[in-house]
Amino acid sequence: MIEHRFLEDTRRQLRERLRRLPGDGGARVRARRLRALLEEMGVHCDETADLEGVDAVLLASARGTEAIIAARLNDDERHHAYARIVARLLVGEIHTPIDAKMEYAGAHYTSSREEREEDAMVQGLAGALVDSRLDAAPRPLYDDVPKLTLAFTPRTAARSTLGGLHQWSVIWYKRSNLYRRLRARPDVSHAIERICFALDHEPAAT
Amino acid sequence: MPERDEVQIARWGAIRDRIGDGLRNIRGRTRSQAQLAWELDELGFHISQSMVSRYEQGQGEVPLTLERIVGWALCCDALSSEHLREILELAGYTLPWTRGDMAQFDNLLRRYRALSRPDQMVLRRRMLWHLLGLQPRSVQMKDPA
Repeated sequence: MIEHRFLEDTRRQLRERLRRLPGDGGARVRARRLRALLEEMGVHCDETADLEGVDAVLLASARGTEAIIAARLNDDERHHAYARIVARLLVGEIHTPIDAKMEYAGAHYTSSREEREEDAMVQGLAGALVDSRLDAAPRPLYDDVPKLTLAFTPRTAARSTLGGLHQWSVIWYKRSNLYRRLRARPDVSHAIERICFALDHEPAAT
Repeated sequence: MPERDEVQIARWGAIRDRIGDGLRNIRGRTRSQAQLAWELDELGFHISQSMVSRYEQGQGEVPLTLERIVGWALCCDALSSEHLREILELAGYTLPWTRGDMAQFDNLLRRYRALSRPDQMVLRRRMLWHLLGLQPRSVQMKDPA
């Protein structure tokens, strides 16, 4: 699964499934739902690990991918841990031939800016997933969006502009706590949704 | 002691000194035999300090298994060392990883040295499984009580 093409394919499937994932039910049901989704993607899940300080570990190699969840977690914490694993799989950089990502409930030490930015993005997307509000995170993290290109017609220029805005949004979502908080506000999410619709809307057939 | 073939006993007798040298080099000077034995025990290997000493002196009676050799190197963050490559070659074992892959395993082990002991052990047990080239789904190991 860690091979690049395979990982991209898994991410694409995960994004599709995530957009249709029901948001009802308690933490236990929703954690089970995320576990089922991961297992469907070929991620082996184990909730019996004696982890002490870490809530969950995502371990991936050419031999397979595992989500190792601490046995001590309650339903809410387990739900958050699964959401972080899903978010990590979607937006995290997973190195070959083996990589391990630690998921913590709170703040923890990170050695590099890249790691901090990735953690912030994972945290934000996982929060949106737990709240059943994927629109609180930038769309490129969970959906296919138009790309910034050299565009010449009014229609493609609008889509390209939208692609540029999405890129800008992801960059600031990674880097700025303030932007992440703003982006998660319902009024801001709705405003962005309207902009996306205006720029990506097919003109009515004449 | 399980019944062993004469050929196997003779072969082990011929290589165990060189394997002992390699094992001592893998452990290095910074890690004591007691510490290594303790870490191996936590990983699920039944190896005492005296067994570590005997293997390093080339006095181990029973041939070292692939799992024990890899576990030994894993505990010493020395999966990419030349000594491990030589030992595996001598013992006739192969792993499905390149030298560069093994260096990445070592990097990962070092990166997470700051984790608590229980968390490190969970990670190492799982990494061992991946190292041995097995799918995570088939993990049957029990945590040592």
